[in-house]
Amino acid sequence: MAQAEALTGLDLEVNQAIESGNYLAGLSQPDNHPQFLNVTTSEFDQAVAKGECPFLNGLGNTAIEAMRESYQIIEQGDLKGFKSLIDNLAESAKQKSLSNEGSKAQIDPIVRLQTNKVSDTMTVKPSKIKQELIDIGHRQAEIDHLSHKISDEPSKIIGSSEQKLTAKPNQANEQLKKTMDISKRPMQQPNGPNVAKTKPKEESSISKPNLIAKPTSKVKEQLGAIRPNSKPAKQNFQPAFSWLKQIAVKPIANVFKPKILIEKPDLLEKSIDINLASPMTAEAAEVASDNLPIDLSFNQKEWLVEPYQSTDETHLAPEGDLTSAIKADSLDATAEQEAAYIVSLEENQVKVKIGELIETIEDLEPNQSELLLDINTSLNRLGILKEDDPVDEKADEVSLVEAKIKHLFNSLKLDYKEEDIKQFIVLCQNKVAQTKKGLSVDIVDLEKLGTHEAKKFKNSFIYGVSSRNQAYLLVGRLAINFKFN
Amino acid sequence: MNPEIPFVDNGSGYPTLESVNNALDVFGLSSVKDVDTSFRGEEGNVPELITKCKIEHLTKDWPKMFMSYLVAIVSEEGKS
Repeated sequence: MAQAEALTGLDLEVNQAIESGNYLAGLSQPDNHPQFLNVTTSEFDQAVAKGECPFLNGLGNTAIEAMRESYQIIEQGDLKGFKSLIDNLAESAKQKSLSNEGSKAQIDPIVRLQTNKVSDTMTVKPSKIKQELIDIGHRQAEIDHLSHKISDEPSKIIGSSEQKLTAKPNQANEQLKKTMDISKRPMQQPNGPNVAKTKPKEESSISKPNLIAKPTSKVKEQLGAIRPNSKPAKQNFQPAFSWLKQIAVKPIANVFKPKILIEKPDLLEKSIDINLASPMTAEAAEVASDNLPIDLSFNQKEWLVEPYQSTDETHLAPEGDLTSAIKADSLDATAEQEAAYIVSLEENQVKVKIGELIETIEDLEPNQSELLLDINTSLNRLGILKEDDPVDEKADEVSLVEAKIKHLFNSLKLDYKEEDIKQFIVLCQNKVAQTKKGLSVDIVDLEKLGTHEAKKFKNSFIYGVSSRNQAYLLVGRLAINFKFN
Repeated sequence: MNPEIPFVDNGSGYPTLESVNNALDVFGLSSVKDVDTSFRGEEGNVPELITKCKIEHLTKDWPKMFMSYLVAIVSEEGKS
């Protein structure tokens, strides 16, 4: 085709060609596509999606895909990929040319593009294809011939089998019926009594007289290729540059797939379950226990008792007699006995109780917490006061801390005895004075001693209020607040 | 990768066949020169088909546009 002729023809028929979708005409149409093609890959995708470019609109999916891949390679400056692109392009063009040469076989270009190498399809000569088709035709004719014979003269057909059924037509028909029944079975039973004398080949011919011999895969392929004026099935087509897709996609997929979750999708769920099953209160209690300035073990026995709810007077301390109070509440056990009992307690139970105590502490009103801290400070100050300090000053300090404790108890709606509070204050004052340490540290040391003095100290405080459990809570609150000291 | 643009205007806004062949040489696609192809009512070898594209389009973003057209021509499956 001469160049001048082509140009002339195109120039004259531009509009008509565009309407007919001729992409070459689209190419020659000024400014109707460069704005869509002279773009990046993503813009190219958008142009394709919008469908505003006549050139792109005239292309099939294969060409679009191939163009896109070439865009991508060029855009990324992938020289290696570009070289491969050129190689593939040359190969595809060569195949396309060969197909046109033989076209008389009109081999579909898509089939040629299915492989990057010179395909087997192209190496098969049309004459060979023709010969195979002829053979298929012959086989078909033979099958048709046999099927007619079966319908016309079944006895003869069966008689020609190995069974040598040369008997009467009725017998032959009966045998044919048996054979037909066998053929209807879903599976052949070679060792079965009814099939033993029947060849599978004959069985097939009889039961399926119109069966057309299946072409070989090669012939099938050639048959598919020879489809004049027909479009190839797109699902069978692989883009000429599919290799690029394979290279590009696989590593990305590997990177972004959370392998562990794919292999064990229930792992995360299990992990959550484990966390939920964990004794959170115990953990919190453990943390709290570590932060506690004192060993609250002396209270453990009581913390395992249900929180006090009643106003049972048996829990109230007898008026003015601490020793009687101890006896009345059966707390006259020795320190060793009590220590042994505490040791026997389950550790986690103790922690849970501490956790509950912390929750109670958190319920304190801000002013109550401040008051507790203030009391602690006052008690420590009392202990620091020297003997030679003015008596009035000491008395004022005792009165002040006593007033604060009363105020705290009242705000907590706790019953108390003024005498016990005074005694508690004196004990605290003495201990602080002896140890020269803060009260919080002093309490810890006191409880570690496990002496009768410690028990006395504890009881003096406990029975300053009407409820033992409430008292323990108060001890806990004080202890917690002491840590801030 | 920015080879010199090989296309020569034939005076009508289209590249000469010789220049298209030169362009193919740039990419070592000489073997494509003699490849006959046909689709969508147009027949000819690859260079001839390329000459039907406006030179301004081919040179605007050379060599991307050229390769794009080339790929499209060779790969185009056609539309009915």
